[in-house]
Amino acid sequence: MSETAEAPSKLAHLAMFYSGTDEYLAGVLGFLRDGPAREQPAFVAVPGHKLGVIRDGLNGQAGRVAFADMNEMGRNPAWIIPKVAAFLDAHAGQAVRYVGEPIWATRTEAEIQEATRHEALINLVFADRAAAILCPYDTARLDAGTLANAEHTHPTLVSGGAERASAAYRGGALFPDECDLPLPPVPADAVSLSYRDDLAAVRAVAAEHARRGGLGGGRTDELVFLVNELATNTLDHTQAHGTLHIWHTREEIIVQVRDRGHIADPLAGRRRPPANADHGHGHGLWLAHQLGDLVELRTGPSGTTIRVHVGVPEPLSR
Amino acid sequence: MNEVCATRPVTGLCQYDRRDLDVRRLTESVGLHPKVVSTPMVFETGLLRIVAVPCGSGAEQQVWLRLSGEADASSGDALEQALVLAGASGTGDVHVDLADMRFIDVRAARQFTQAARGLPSDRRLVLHNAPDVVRRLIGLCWPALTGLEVANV
Repeated sequence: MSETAEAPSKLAHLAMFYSGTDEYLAGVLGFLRDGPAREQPAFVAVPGHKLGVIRDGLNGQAGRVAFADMNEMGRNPAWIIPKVAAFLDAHAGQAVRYVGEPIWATRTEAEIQEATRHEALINLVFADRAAAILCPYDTARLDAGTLANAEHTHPTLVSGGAERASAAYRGGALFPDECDLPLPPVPADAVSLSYRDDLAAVRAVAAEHARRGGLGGGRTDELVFLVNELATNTLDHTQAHGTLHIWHTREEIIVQVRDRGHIADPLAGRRRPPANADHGHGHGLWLAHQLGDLVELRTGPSGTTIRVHVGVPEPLSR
Repeated sequence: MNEVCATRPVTGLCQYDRRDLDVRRLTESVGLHPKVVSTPMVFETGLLRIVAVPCGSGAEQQVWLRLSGEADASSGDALEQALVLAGASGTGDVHVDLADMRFIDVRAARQFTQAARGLPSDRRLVLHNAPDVVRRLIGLCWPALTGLEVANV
């Protein structure tokens, strides 16, 4: 991976296809220590059980590398970009390396879709950053569709130590089709409420259902808060009513807000709004992504649906 | 008026009914006067009620805003008005007590941060009894803010 490594004046975004630990380590360690990489600050966020072997493989070099457990840092894929951005900001003016593995086989389908969207957004949000980003994909465990999407979301592919341009790369602002499939239908027993400016009623329904779904006090307050912000966006940015749906499974509470608005910026809510931002969708969507465990957003000229998943703490008492 | 009175032993009191002023006009009139006097006041809109109480004596005049109810899209400009007057009429820190709040939205939190930024660097806006969700959202949206202190309970 010599050329991209030596010319880090702009973004290099590589999908690395691997099978087995040896191939994984050869690719990741080479990316972190070969050539100019030896001098560059680096950040590694992969599932926690792999951190040990990478740290060991770096021998004495691990000191200049920051590590994070992707199971935590990327549980909600929308949390990853702000963390990487903070690392880049902390090393402004330097070429930086990042190994990010946001997709693994035991993730839910919805999580893999959102992590795939995250991969596509990296091309957009870090387009002008001097960063080399390597994303490992386990060819032995991930399904064919997920691997094909990695070719759509990465301009460069690496396998067996060889780099090549991805013929399937879609460019910065385009998402693989799977990312924008219609969401699974709202269950028939979901609570439904049509709202306009009666936000106190929206909050009451959210609080009542969060309690019934087994959410604790603090998380209930956060859920009520984020539902209120999404409904406030309907009020601020559309002329029509919105619809709230809320339901729960054994594992999570799910709230959905649907309105007639259209969110044209795919990065809305993905980055912390500037401190002096006065209005806009900015803070509401940002907080929905930060406070929720997974956010699915579908938007178009006919309207916007935002579905937020909030995990119920274990153990369940139901 | 400031110019006419500058060299004469005159004290002028200009009265404004804040109910007639929007936030922009209020901020303008406040800016035209070297000293702003405000008595205990009540602001009430939607589900939100604010009682503003000047306190302290001598050089340092602090203002306490006691909020109760719910701050959401129905609250209009009440909070912004109260914060502008508190900043202009006091000379010390501005204190905001949230103990009796049932709900606070991000717009209200943003208004706290804007008011804190508007104060001179030697004065702070201090939030008292902030619910955990408010602490969390301030940390998520404005992690590096100076001039705003979230007091520990």
